[in-house]
Amino acid sequence: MTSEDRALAAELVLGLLDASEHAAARARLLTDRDFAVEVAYWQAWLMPLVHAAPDVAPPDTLEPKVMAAIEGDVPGAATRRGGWRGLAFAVVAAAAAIVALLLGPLHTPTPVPPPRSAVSAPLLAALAVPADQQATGRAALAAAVDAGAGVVRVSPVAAVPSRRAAELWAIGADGAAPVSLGLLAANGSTRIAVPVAARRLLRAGTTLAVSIEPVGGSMTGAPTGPVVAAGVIAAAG
Amino acid sequence: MEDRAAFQQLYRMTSAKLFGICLRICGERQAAEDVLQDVYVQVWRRAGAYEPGRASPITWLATIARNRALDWRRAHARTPQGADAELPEIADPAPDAEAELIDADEAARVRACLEELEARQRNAVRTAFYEGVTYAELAARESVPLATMKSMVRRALIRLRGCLSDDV
Repeated sequence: MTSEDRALAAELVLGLLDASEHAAARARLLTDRDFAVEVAYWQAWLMPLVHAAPDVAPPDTLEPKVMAAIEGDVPGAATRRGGWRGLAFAVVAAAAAIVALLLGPLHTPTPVPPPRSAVSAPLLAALAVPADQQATGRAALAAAVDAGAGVVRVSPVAAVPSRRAAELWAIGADGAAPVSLGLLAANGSTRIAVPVAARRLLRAGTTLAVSIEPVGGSMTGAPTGPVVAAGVIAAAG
Repeated sequence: MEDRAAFQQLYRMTSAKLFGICLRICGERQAAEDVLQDVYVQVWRRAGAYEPGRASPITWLATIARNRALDWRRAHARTPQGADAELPEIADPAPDAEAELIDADEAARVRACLEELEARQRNAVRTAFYEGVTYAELAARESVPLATMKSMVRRALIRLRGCLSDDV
């Protein structure tokens, strides 16, 4: 990580970059873990500055609009097992923490436990095409991870050579060796039931990567062919 | 419902802070209101993504609000000359004691490091942070060439990084 790279991470957080530079830096975030760590570093340092921004009360008409907007229609939570519970937990936790801030240490409420892993917050990964693969008709992939059910769904992969297969790998945030999650379908999207032993990797921060391997998958247990897409799992927005 | 009531409470306790952030970056009230509504709907839908311990809840909310406002600004890019130069400066932000309890150390440290920069550098970094302006807009406001602004701010960021990573 050069000092220019570090400055670039800060520029991304601050929003200084023009549209194309911004898009390039966002893409790098998906494939360059050190850069992503640097961005998180700046985010953690700079964001507390928001407290100095002056408060401005929004118009009274906005609160009913917001409450109406969340009425009944909660696609992100309602359709997933545990979604409601996780949501309620986190909102109450956030509200309790803010109440604690407002009331001060005398009235610190009992801490609300953080949402446990049993709560399956939606996880997604955008798998970008590395720079050296962009001329070969590759396309970015999307992966949706259901950690609770141990299932990964991957969008259709393009331009896999004949007599080759695309294999999905997970690389933990600790940098351990890639673990195969399985082969991607030759046509259409793929639903992979992840082996129990590898399910601990189905979490935010894990990198998903797709490599081109012999039919049947890598015989060495590690990726042998070119990596055609990679990205980091993150909580869905 | 219980979680709706909690959410409403959350809105009442945080919306002025988030609206202030959105308004400064968007530069117009209607846009800031739209962005703020989006922010709360997004928060409602992804509350499970909040990780206690990583940042205070208000900082987490503020990060979402700031990023949404930056997206809006980017999508509605105006000519740099048309930027809201008439908005009052955030001259010397006073610590916001109530909200800073959790982030107080970080906020104090970053402020101290900003103080070590030259005034022009500090102002550029602050303006970028609070108003979400790009290099091109900063350069136009200061009437300096784009390359000059970039190299000045980059030097500032590298210096700031060095200061932040220094052991206390």
